[in-house]
Amino acid sequence: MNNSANQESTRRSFLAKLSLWIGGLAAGGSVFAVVRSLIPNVLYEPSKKVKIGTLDFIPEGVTFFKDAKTFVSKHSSGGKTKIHAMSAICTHLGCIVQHTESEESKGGIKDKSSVGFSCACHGSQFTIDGDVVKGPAPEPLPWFAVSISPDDGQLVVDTSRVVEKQKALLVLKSKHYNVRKV
Amino acid sequence: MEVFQRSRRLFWSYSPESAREASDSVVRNFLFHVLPAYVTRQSLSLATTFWLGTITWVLFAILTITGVILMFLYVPSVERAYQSMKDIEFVVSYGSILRSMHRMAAHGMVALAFLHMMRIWYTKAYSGPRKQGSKREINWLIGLVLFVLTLALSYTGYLLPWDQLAYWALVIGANVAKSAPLVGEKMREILIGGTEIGQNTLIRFYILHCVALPILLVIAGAYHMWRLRRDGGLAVTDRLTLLQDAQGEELKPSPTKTYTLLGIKEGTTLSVRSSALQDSLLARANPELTIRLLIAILLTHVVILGVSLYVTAPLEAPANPLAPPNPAKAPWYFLWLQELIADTTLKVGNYVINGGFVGGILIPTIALAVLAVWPFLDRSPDAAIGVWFHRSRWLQNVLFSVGVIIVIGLIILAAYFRGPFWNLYWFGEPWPQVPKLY
Repeated sequence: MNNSANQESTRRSFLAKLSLWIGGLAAGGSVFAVVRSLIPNVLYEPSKKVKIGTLDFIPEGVTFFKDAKTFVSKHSSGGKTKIHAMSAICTHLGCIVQHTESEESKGGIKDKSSVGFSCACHGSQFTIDGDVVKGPAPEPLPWFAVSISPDDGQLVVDTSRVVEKQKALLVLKSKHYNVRKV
Repeated sequence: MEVFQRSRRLFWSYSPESAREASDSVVRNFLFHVLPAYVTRQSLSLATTFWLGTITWVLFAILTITGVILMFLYVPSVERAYQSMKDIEFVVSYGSILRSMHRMAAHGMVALAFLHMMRIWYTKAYSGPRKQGSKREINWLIGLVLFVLTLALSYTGYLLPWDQLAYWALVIGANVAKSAPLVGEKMREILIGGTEIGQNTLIRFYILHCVALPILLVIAGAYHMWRLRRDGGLAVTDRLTLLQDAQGEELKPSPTKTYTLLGIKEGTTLSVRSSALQDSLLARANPELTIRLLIAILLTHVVILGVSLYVTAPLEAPANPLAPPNPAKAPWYFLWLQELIADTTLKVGNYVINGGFVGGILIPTIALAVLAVWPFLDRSPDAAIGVWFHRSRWLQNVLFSVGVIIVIGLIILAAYFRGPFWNLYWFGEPWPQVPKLY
């Protein structure tokens, strides 16, 4: 080592720097490879689009669909049927909420602030439309897009597509299914 | 007398004739060479440490041995994990006892590591006399790392049975990670190996539990013990050398070389100073310390085995991704966190911060950070070192105790006063019937 203020690079200091750089790059590259290999490139997971059956087979009111982890609400009046899908996954930390609507509010006039769904894990409560009533949930339960599959006429819930609240599928009953979105 | 001497040799045949022989036995023996040749008599006293750190190590040894055996019997696959747990419980000879021992030792290790930490705090064992170059603060930091690793081992451990407790702890744990800003989403993906909890998740936590975390714990733990030796033993030893100094007889260390992590350094270790204490204060490590270690090992083993004969490790219903238990409760050492994440969702104007982040990440990190810097800011006198509840530290001790009481209070609240849908019920108040699910 030169003890003067001489900054001149010698062969020795150059090789020392070079080996440090190569060693550092190798170490950094290995760490990157390790971390990157843990992020999967292919996921063997079920599809986010789930068929839930044809309209006639879906019961009136709120029904839980296991494969989609979704509550599907169906309300018919006259020739019109309104269907919407709402996530059953609590927005707090991901537990499945339960349909805990009271019998009175199921039958008669709905108080919009009354509890429709409750979470067992940390006590969040939601209205029948998914808005937070109380508890730690930071956001309302999201609504998912519902459509009709063109091949077999089954309803399809797309859990990867969140739609605006109150956006339901309206089915007008006639000789042929007449579908439009409202 | 002769008979007594002879019968004694049945149980403990070793009895050194000289000090030289006693220290030789330590240096020459692979198992003993982590011990010093001499320890202060006060270090051996029960009231100094209650042997909390030692017992934590013994529990870790029990966990390692029972854990390796359980690895022969457990299949880390989503389809078969729960069935292999049932087999361990009902088919394998003594499988239930082995599993119980593993679970009870795990509970014990969390509890004792925490009690050990409390002992360090209340005796100011996290700092030594500064002018002698003591770095006990570093060991306090390593201790915090070890405590976090212990909790991580417990968490990854109770996920493996793939029962309801495991599945929903995973759901909540993964979403706590996700609730972190910016990196949360990625962290969750790396942790569970995808977007949904499944086989990828189980194998990841299995490897963490059986390989990665134990290796880290052994490395950090070895450093913990090595630092303890370099810092001259327990804090009471520092107290003795300080008392000696105060009497005007400054202890002169003999010049010697000492080992650092990556080499040999000139100078002295603190242990060299403490070994210059007068003979009446010292005891030979072998047999005085070794026989006590043996007793600690045997008693811990007896207690864990005894408890395991009567208490079976819990196993809930098989994992059901559609219905969390109601109420879904974490093991006791995480209940305070569960209570926090249920209560700490903050609304600031239009922004809502998820309680999972506040209670699950922010508050524990702040608590750990405060604990980590505390010894560096502690300005109490050296006279407080190695003394239980020294008067000069009353305020610090009160603050620490308040923290401990809050944590215990939250655990009790969550354990006994939370019912279905996490509602509050008085102790003994009947819980309402919860509808059966799907």
